[in-house]
Amino acid sequence: MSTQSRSAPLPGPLSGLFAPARVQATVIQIATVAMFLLACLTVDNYATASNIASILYAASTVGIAAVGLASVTISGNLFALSLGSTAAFASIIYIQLSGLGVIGALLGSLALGVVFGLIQGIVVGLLRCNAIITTIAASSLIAGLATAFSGGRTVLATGGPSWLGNGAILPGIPWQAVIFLVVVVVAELLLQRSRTGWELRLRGTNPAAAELAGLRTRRVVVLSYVLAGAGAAMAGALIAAQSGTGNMRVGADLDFSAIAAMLVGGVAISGGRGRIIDVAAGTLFLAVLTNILLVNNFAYEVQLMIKGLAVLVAVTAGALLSRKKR
Amino acid sequence: MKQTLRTALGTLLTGSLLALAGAASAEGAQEGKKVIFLGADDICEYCAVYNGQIRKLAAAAGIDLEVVTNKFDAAQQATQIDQAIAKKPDAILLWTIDGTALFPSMRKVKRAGIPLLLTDVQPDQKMDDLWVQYSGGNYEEQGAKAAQLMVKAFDDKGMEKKGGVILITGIIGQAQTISMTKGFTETLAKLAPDLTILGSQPGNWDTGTSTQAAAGLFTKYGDQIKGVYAAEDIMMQGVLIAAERAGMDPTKMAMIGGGCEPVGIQNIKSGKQYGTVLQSPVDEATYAVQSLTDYFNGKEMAKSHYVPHPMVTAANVDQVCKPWPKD
Repeated sequence: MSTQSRSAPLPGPLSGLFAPARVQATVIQIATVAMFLLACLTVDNYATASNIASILYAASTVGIAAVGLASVTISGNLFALSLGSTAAFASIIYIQLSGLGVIGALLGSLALGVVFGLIQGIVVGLLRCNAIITTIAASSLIAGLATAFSGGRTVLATGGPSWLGNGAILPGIPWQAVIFLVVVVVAELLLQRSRTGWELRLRGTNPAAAELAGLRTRRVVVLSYVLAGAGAAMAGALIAAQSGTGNMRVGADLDFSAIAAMLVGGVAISGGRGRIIDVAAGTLFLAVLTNILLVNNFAYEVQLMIKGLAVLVAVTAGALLSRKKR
Repeated sequence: MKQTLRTALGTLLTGSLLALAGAASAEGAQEGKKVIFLGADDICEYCAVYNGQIRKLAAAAGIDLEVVTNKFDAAQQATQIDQAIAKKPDAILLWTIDGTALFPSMRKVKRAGIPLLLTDVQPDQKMDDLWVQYSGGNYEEQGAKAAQLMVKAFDDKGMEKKGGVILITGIIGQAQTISMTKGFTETLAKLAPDLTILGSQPGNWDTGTSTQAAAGLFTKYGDQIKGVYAAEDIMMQGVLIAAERAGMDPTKMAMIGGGCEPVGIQNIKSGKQYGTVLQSPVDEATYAVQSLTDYFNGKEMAKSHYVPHPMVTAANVDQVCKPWPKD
């Protein structure tokens, strides 16, 4: 009896959630909600609008960059390591164009990200150069151009932070979180429900087979870098909008944070597996964890240890559970 | 007669020129000297201004200055020091990225017989036999001045010197972070013993990181926080954003930054930030070139030559905080 119940499969919807390919993502989603609820119950002032907004501000910028990056990883090209420099340049452009209004400045920043993403996409996708080396070189080039453009100086918005930087649709729900949600929904639909998304995932699963099958592999690789560039640029613009300043320090940790969020969420480093919603969950997991550590005023070194350990446990547990189920 | 006069004038002119040349060589021994400056990338605004100024000032002093920078990477700077030693310059000027990790590299410079002068970051002074002179900021004094400003802010705003304050520091482990924190905490304990430091988090010299760090502390301590010391104005900008999001009025708190940076000047003028402590990249670059000039001219040199750190509030911000040069 007991043996039977142990080996019995989970009921329909749950079996999907705990299928080998989904188990890490599901565990992270549950852990994020559990951590948040536990903190609400045990930490004073945790569930206040300002603290929730603080979590969402941090998650939105990293999350948007991680969503763009995920398209590169899922397409089978590991990582793009030019997110930080793109975000820094975009922050400077956003502030420089702030006289055009929020939308004009945002579009200007996005255009910058799209152009840099397109260049990297062409080099990796069409010219078949190594993805990591290309993006490291691009990072250096973009940082150099941004420094030459700004003279290394911090640029200040004349009117201070705008509605995009500190406005909220509801108490605790900043506009930046709404933008993050829209980006996640659009990207999830693109990857899961469109031919392009299907080709992107198949290219990540088996590049040679995808090419032999006549899929538009080169085009989707170029597109993935355009999305990564646009995501990084939007993150930079949102950071600049928060502080009313743009400089080369913006996005200094963005590459590492976006990679960590994506991997913790359950996107496979080898490509082909993972969903945008997983990236969002991974981002929220790290944002909630960071916030809990800060609110409890843990020493910095303890924060580093706990965050590192959490990432390690999440990735290891995902790998082990996935293997066990298989 | 004409010939005699011409000869006499010629002799006088030659003598005068020789005398002038002699005087110039006594004061101008730095001219044509090859110096390698190992510093930080233009990626930080302070560094960009410093690098621009030192190039200009060294050129004006006739020093042949080669500028080599890196992105705050101590390992890369160690390699750069090895390369600099191989070039056998007349002196090395070092903005050490890590005051402790680069001691072995400094020893190599000493063994190579190349004079080493330091700028901006002062490592542990127990090792000061490795360098000729340090010129730049006195970070402990800066922290102490920030504490004095904090107390002054409490007085000026009519607040009782009781309650909590928080600290947003630079990168943990950096020599300047350690010294600033020491100066601030020790001085505050002396001047206002009833003010308690509730918490401290690193802002890593970055606005976004400081916003998150301050937001966490505002959530935990809320109205207990009466004042904030952020070691740099650009980090105070992050604190102000977090305070406003938390529904706190920064004009009713003691907000103290550091550096007299453009964003700090703007915040002091708007009343959101009470004050700052000057540390000017122009001063630091000027002192560094003076340090090199003094060395080549054989002047007696103290081990430390600190730039001034006056306290700044809305009352004197325009007099003390000069706009940073654009090129």
